[in-house]
Parts: sequence; C-alpha cells; structure tokens
Amino acid sequence: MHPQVRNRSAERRAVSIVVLFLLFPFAAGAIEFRGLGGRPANPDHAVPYSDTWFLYTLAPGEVKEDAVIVQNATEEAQQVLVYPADTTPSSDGGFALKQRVETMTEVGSWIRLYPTSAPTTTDAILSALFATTTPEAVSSMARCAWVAEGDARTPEGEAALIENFRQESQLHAKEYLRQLREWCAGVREVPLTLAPGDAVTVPFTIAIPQGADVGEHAGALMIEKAAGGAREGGQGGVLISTRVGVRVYETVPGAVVRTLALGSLDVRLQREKNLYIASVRIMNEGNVSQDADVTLFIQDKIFDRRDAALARQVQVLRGSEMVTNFEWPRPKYGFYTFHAKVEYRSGEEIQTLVSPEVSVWIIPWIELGIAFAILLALIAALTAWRIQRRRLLAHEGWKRSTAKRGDTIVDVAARTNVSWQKIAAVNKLKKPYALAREQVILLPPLPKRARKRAKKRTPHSRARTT
Amino acid sequence: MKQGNTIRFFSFGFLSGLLTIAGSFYLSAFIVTAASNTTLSQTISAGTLSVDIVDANGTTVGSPSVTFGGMSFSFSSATTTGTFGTSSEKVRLANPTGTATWSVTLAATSGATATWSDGGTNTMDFNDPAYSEDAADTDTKGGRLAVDPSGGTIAGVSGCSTSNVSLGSSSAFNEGVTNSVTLFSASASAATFCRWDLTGVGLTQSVPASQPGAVYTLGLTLTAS
Repeated sequence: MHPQVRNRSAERRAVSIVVLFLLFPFAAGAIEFRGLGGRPANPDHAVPYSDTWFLYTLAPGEVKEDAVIVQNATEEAQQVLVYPADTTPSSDGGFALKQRVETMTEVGSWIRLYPTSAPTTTDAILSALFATTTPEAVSSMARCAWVAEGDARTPEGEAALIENFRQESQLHAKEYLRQLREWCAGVREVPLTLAPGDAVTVPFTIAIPQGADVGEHAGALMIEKAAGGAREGGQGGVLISTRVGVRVYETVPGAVVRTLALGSLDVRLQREKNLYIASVRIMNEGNVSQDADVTLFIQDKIFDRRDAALARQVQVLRGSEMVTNFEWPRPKYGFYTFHAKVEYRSGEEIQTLVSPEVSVWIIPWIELGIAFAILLALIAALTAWRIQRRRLLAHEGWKRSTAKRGDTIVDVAARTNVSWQKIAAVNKLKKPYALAREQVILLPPLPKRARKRAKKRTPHSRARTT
Repeated sequence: MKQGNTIRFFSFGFLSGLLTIAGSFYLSAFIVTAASNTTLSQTISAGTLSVDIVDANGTTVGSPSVTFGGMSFSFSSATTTGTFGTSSEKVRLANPTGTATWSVTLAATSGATATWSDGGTNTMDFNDPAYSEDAADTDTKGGRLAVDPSGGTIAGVSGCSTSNVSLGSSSAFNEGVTNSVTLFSASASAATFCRWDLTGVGLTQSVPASQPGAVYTLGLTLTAS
C-alpha cells in the first residue's frame, strides 16, 4: 500500500473514533420506577417502616407536627389532591381507606394540613402579643396553641389584649390574630400541580383528641390523581381514578391487648384455573394491628407423596377480620386434608392457633367417565359377538345327513339355503372344510321347493339326499 | 511528498487535540476525577409506592375504564360482565421502597351512596343488599356489582417474584358492609423494589328488571397503600 494512502486512512479512522466518542456519551441502564406517591418527610431511620409510613405513639391531647413529601416521578405534570382519610374495612379485612367525600371520624379527622406558611406581622406586635423579646423563637404551632388557649381566645380577651396597643397597631394586631386563627385551623385538602420530577413538602399536624381510646388507630395521607376526562363517544362503563395512601399508625399508649382468633378454613375449587383456594379467616380481638405467620398444611392421605406447607406473613388490623387466600394446584386424584396454623407474638410468648381439618376427595370424573365409556363399549362389542356366535351355532331341527361323493360344503349350503359358514360352525368343520364321502353331517331341513324337486327325482336320487 | 505528509500529520494532531480538549469538558460531566480531598456525593430520592393503569408498553392510560357487555331491555333481572385489567389496561403496582406490605383496593369514588348513572334521571345501584331488587338501603334502586379478583393473574415485571403477593377473594359491594374490595396485596415477606401487573379481574353487575335503556357509568377509585 502507498504510504500516503496508509496515512490518510489511519487519519480518517482516528478522527472517526474521536468524533464518535464525543457524539455518543456513556449511557447507564437502570430500572426506573415512574409513579406518583408520597413518603414521610422526617423519618426516624431507627424505627422500622418509618421511611414509608407515619408511626406515632401520642397520648390524648398531644399534637405533633410533621410533613409529607408528595413526589411526581412520572414524565407528565400531575394535578393531585392531598387529604387525610380513615381506614375502612375491606372485603378481606385488609387495609383500605375511606373515599374523599366520606365523613372522617378517626385519624382522618385528627390531621390538618398547612400548605402555606403561617401569617406574620411586625416584631413589635409579636413581642407584645406573645410577651417575649424573641418572637421568632415562638413556633407556628405554639402561636396556634396560644390563640386557642391564651388570653386572646375570646373576643373580650382579645380586645383587652390589644387595647394597650397604639391605635395604628391595633388594626394590624386584630387582622394578624384573625389570619392566625384561620391559618391554625388548617385545611382538610390541598390541591397541587407537580411538574415531572417535582417533590413538594406539605406540613401537617396530628392532634390526638382527649377521648381517644388506648390502642392503635390507623389512617393515611392520600395523594389522589385528578380524574381523567369522560370517555369519548358516549361509551358507558366504569371510569377508573387512582390514588395512593401513605399509612398513618397512631398508638395511644396504655394496656396493649394482642389477641387473634382463628375462624373457619374454607377450601373450594376454582375451576377456571384448576386450583384449590384455601381461605383462612383470622379475627383481631385486640386493640392493635397484629402481624401473624399463617401456614397452610396439606396432607396426602392415600399415597403420602404430595404433602405441602404454604406459609406467609399477614397483618390483621385492629378490630377487623382478615381473609388470606392460598392457591394450590389441583392434583389428578386423591384424598387430602387441609388445616391452618396461625402464630403470633403476644408479649414475650408465641401464641399458636390451629384450625380444624377440612377433607377433600379428588375424583377424576372425566377420566373415570372415559374409562367407563370404553368399558361399556367393550362389553357391548363382546355381547354383540356372543349373540352373533349363538345365532351362528343354533341348529334346532337339523338332521343327520350323509355326504355323497363330490359334495362340497358350498354345494350343500346352496342346496339347503344356509350359509356354508353356519354348516361349518355347527359341524365344527376345520379348514379347508372338505367333506369326506359318507361323512355324516348335520343339515337343516330342505326348503319347500327343494323338497318338491327331490320328490320329482327318481327313488334312487331321493335316497342320496336324505 | 514528505512536506505534504508532515502538514497532514500536524493538522491531524492539532484537530485531534482540539477535539480532545473540547471533549474533556463535555465528558467531565460524566467522569469524576478525585483531587486530594474531594468529597463525592450523590443524592438519590427515595421511591414511593404508586399504582397506575398502564398499557402493554407500561405507558399510563389517560382515561382508564372498563366496558361491560351490552344488553337489551328486559322485564327480568339480568347480569352483565366486564374485565378489569386487560393487556391494554393493566393495573400496575410499583413498590420502590423497603417496606414489603401493601394492598390495592377498589371502591366507589363517591362512596357507599354512589349509583350507576346515565347523566340524567336513570340510575342503578351497585351495592344493594338484595342484588337485583331494592332492599332497605339509602336509594330506591336495585343492582349490585361483584368483583372477582380470584380469577385474575399477577405477573411480576422484569422478573419480580410473585411469592407472597396474593389475589383477593370474590366479593360483592354491599352498602354499609362491603364498601371496598381488595384486589391484591403483599405480605411482609414479599419482594421489595419491584413492580407487579394485575389482569383478569372479573366484574359482574346484576341489572334490575325493567331497567331503562341508557348508557350508564360508575366512578371507581383504585387505591394503593
């Protein structure tokens, strides 16, 4: 190769490599979880689950400030509504939450949201109202407690408080107190618009009422996506909207009772999927949610080969009845028993509950039906053969006759109007079915016409055929 | 010739050098070089539990819905069925957190007093205790919607295990008794940082006798918690 050509091609390759290197940066692949949801803004990493749920142990009368982060990890802007909700029983006793339009009476009513900053006013007014030289140290919630319980909690008290203010400050102070009272009430729901990738922090307080009973109270902070538009073309059906709940568990301190009861074990066949569904029913009679280990034991009573144990952990909410379903592929046949065991911790002890046994006979009806049909067909065929054979061997009225020289079984059959197969069967003749001279065989009576013809023959001929 | 080669060589070298310098500024966004006391930090936002209706490609469906089989006016009560969760509208639960427990439920958006409506005066109940007839509930209409997740299918996305993720039981809405139906849920032993798709949940609506012909809709809310 010419040196100039070699250098030129090498140059082109080098430049191409550099250009390609710059044009296509490194790309890293990763699983991306694109979704809309929320999480606690101030988790205590030493507490299990606090990164995902709000967990409190507040006494009646206590108020706690916290915040929820609403996160839009989708590729579209999202309009959402944030609001607190009570739990409500679900069909299987699982965790479910009330709808936004429903009345909240528990945790959903204890939470108030504060999407905006507290109102403010001059340092002089704040110092005078809260009797402090460092008004900035008085938190928003402390100010709320002051307007609810302090001197300004009544109109008369407020009037007396600001009476000593300079006249121009009185209006400002009155307006500030009005805004503060309004802000302190919080709001029940907060509409937000989040751009892709946005995360917004929404502060809230949870105030435990004086009458709250000991034990666990559950609810959630809901992030509900704005519903899509109506379906085009006037089509009916169900319109689906989605929302996510960040669970809130508040346990009022006191005597915690942990008691579960095991209900019935129900085993039924799900024909479409050819599975057995075993439903274990567990009731929580305590005052807190309870984690439990549930094991379903299946025993093969005939062959002892297909024993199984299916296990899972469940959480049974306070005051609810949970149903957990196990799926088990249906075998072809056999006799099986099912029973469930539930274990949970109550204090330092492990409590164990065992259900009664449920027995199931698995009979392969289709296979049995096919086998029975085949057997019936065989019996029918055998019966038909036997009937035919009996007809073939029937020889009532037949007489002994001597075969003449030259007689063949076919000739005899033609003469007597009977099939040669029947003559052979009756006389037990074997192949080649030859008749010996003077051989005595059984023959049916001659038909009428043959008898008449025989009578017309000579006496000598007649003697030959009888 | 030699002079030409030399010019080309230095031109090439100059061009490469220029490109390399420019490239190093570009690549510096992707390459970290440590000095003697440089602190490296990276912030990864924690994920959150989420639920959505997605198509076969995992793209969010704008206005998800379920269509029921059409039926004609009848002087007898009847039923119509639909399927919640199809290949083009799957229920996707994403759990990018370290907490394995979650549940997904279905309930009427307007609460226990909601009804099917044609936007006018024709309505039909979805949670009457007496199925097709009207029992002593808050409305004067019959009709009941049953949800059967037990015949559905849970599929792990990108190889996620479905162990300890279970389907709910077949159940019908019943005012004051069953206002929410569990579709599927995960126990504390289920996988984390995973996604699952649910399809094939059967919906059956009992229709009262002589129900006026119209196009009815009902709002349902899918909740993950």
